[in-house]
Amino acid sequence: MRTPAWRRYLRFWGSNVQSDVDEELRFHLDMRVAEYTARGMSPAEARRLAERRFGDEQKARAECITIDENAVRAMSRGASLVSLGQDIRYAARLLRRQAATASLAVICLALGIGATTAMFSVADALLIRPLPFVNGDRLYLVATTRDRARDADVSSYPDYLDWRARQHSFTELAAFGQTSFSVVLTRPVRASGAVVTANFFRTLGVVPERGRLFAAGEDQMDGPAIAIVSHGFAEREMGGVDRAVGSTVSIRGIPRTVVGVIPDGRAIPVGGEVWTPLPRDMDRSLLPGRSSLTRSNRGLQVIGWLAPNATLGQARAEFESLEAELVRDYPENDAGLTTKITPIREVYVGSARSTLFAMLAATLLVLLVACANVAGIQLARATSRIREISVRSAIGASRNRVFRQLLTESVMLALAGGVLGIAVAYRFSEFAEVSVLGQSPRWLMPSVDLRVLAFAVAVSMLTGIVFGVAPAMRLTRVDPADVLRGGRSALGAGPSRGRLQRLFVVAQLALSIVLVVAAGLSIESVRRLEELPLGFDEHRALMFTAMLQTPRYDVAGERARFADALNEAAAALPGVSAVGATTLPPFRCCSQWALAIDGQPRPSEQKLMVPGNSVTPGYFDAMGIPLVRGRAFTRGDAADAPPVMVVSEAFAKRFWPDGDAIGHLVQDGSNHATVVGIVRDVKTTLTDAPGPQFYRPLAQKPITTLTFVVRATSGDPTRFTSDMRRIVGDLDPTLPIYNVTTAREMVDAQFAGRKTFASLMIAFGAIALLLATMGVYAVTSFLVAQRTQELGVRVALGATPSRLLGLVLRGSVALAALGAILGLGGAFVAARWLSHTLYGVGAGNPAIYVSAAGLLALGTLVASIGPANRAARADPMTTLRAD
Amino acid sequence: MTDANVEVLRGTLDLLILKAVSWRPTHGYAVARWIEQATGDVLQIEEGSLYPALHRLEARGWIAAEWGSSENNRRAKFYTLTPKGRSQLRVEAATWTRFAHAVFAALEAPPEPA
Repeated sequence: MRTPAWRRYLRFWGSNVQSDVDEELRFHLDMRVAEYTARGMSPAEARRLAERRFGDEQKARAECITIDENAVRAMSRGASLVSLGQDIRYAARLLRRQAATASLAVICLALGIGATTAMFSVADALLIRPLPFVNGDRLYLVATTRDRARDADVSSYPDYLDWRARQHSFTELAAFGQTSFSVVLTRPVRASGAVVTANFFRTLGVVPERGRLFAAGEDQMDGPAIAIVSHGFAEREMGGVDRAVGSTVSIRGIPRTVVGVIPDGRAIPVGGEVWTPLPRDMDRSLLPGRSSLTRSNRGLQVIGWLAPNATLGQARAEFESLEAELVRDYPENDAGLTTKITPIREVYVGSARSTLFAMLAATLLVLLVACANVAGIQLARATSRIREISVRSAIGASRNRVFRQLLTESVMLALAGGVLGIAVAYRFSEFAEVSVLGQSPRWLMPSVDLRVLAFAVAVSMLTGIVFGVAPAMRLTRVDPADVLRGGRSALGAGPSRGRLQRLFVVAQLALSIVLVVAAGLSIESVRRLEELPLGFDEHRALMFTAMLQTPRYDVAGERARFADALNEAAAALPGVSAVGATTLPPFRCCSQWALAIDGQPRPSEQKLMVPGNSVTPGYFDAMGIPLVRGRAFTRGDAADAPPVMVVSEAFAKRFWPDGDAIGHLVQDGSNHATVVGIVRDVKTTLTDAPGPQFYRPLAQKPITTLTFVVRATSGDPTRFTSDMRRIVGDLDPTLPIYNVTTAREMVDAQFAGRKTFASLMIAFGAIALLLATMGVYAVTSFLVAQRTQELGVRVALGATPSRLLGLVLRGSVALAALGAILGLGGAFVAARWLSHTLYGVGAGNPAIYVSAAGLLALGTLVASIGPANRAARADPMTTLRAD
Repeated sequence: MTDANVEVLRGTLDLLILKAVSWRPTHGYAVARWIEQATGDVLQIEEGSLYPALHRLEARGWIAAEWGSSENNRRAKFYTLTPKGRSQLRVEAATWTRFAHAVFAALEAPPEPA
């Protein structure tokens, strides 16, 4: 190929722009002078005339120099691109020739980069990607809370009305209650959604796709029967968006006109399908005949769209003083309440954050181990490369150029790792989602999109540079003359030999021990959680939920009658041992009720709030909750019978620490119920010890949403699913049932996140340990190869093979010991940090540290045996001749 | 020779330079001489602007430069037309000719009817 003209020119001309311009102009003037002298002028005269003819020489000179210098700069940019192309081709050739080492490095990197990328996709979804709400960044959740840490973010309707009337911080303040609706179209369906104030959609910034939003004043007690549905619901259930608007649907047994359709995923709940105006539906939702819009019923959530000129600090201050007024005005309900204003993103991200950061840290450690590993591999290759590099510098490659060449190789390795890593990330992000996000809303789910891919590429480049710099610096510091003269001894003699490689191995060992300890702690945490008693029997039980929302169930006794009829029909099925219904199945929190213990002083000002549960007589048997003392409910505990109550052990222990709870009276609303029995505590959350709980007969305290439990005498309880659908359909064809699951699945779902977290930690620990072991093998082999001569001399001087074996093993053990000490220190720090995320395990867990160190020792030993054997077989004759 | 005649429009100077180097490698002095002779000494170009123009055309890749020795055996910078420059020359020559014809035609036109 012909060299392009400009390159010849560039090399020839170099950067000597100024002297070239001077020479060119001087030539011109001299020619002109020669011309004029030839015409007979005196030399002085000729020169004067020539200069005048030329004009402003300095200006022309300056202009030429500027033009040329710019051109040279542009060309050297082009030239560096050309040399980059050469570097890449050269590196590709080289890596192909050393396919085994290269693929090992690529796999290491793929694991590190893949894990990091997947975690980035999760972090991106949680922390960076915009929320689905138009007003997302200025949306806040406003709530009242009794103790800041544990309380749910809820408010009461009267509180909301007072806030709205008095506050100035928010442009809009809307209240909503997330719920489900039974909707009857061609078949009964359950639709998720919310009862909302009229300004709810305006607050979120939702624009209707068809029709309109709720208008001011439509959220009154006597407001119109209307609803808004989502695009998806209109398409799926109502025959299209256009037919939906204006049509009438039965929602909760009341015919309502659909006034608008909104786009999917733009409101709360994000997956919602149906919304109705608030006070009407709110008022009918719990106990028939009793208003639930009281100040004591904190069952609503309030969102605010922060005014453009207001800050979060101002809003918080304003609401604190507003709530102080309410506490003064309504001490019996609001005493002890404070307000809490949270950015909407925080509501969704919340508890996932600490797990997310733990996982991010873990993946970064894996990436670091991979980097250290590849750096080690590259350094080992340095030995074989040293001559080649020296030759290249001897024939004129600049040190810079060689450095760049080496770095190009590293970055190419890293990019190859990155491409493979993206495949790993796809696979891995599924697990990462489960462990970090658990039951977060679907729209928060991460996806590997362009931004995430860009991240992967950036991480790869950075990785390549990080692990490439040390070997490259090492190689370019070598004096080519030394190498070409003296062979590999020029790499440095004596103890400094391989010091950098040993350093990398120690780093790998230390990092991997941190991960192994983290994995151990995660397993231990899950094990301890599994040892905690659930308080019920999770085997052989089928569960499903039904909502008794239609007006038919507002009639006194109707809910209990429905539950009784269903229980009776189900109990008649062969293979069913017990059936029952509850309003609050295990792991569901919390409808809290105000109680007062007769004969005990009421806690001053503050009400005693206890999670309460209405159940049918068969529930304790069906759920497998053991009765500790007294009796369970019977058919006799009917609506008109004396009010009774069953309490949990924690309840009994708290209020009658020294005596028997049975026979005492507890005031629940207007009833004074007698405690007739005590049952085991049932878990409401995975990690917290259950607090006091109480149970009332459904007949005496009927509630809309019921979860039925069907216990099989043996075998798989899911075989009853179709029977149950038939029985429910026979009793009430308008009733949808949902959340069909087994008790076992319900428990597993609780553990899913933690178990996945633990298995990911195990995977990380295993990968890191494997990489570190490979690193030990590589460096030991390298050192043995380096010491061939020395070993040969030792054998010649009478060293036995076992002495040589010991010599090599001692070196490895020293590495392992150093790595273990550093790693265990790091692990201790990491464990203290992890203890926020993991249940029941602190930093002090000697068994885990010891086993991690043991694993490390074992890995090191296994990795060193091969090279040590080679050393022991050193043959003085061949080795002394070797170089 | 008035100043107006000396002030050759820059575009015209570029065109003349391209033409001047279109046969063989030519140094700057020869370019100046050719323009003087070819235009019958009507267009005495200002040499101070000749060299920046040469360098600018070179940076654009229309002409290439190489050092060689001159007819009196001195080191001199020779310019040659590149393929890119040759097509540029064709385009500019055509444009200039069209322009000149148009001006001629206007000057030769009969007086405008009143």
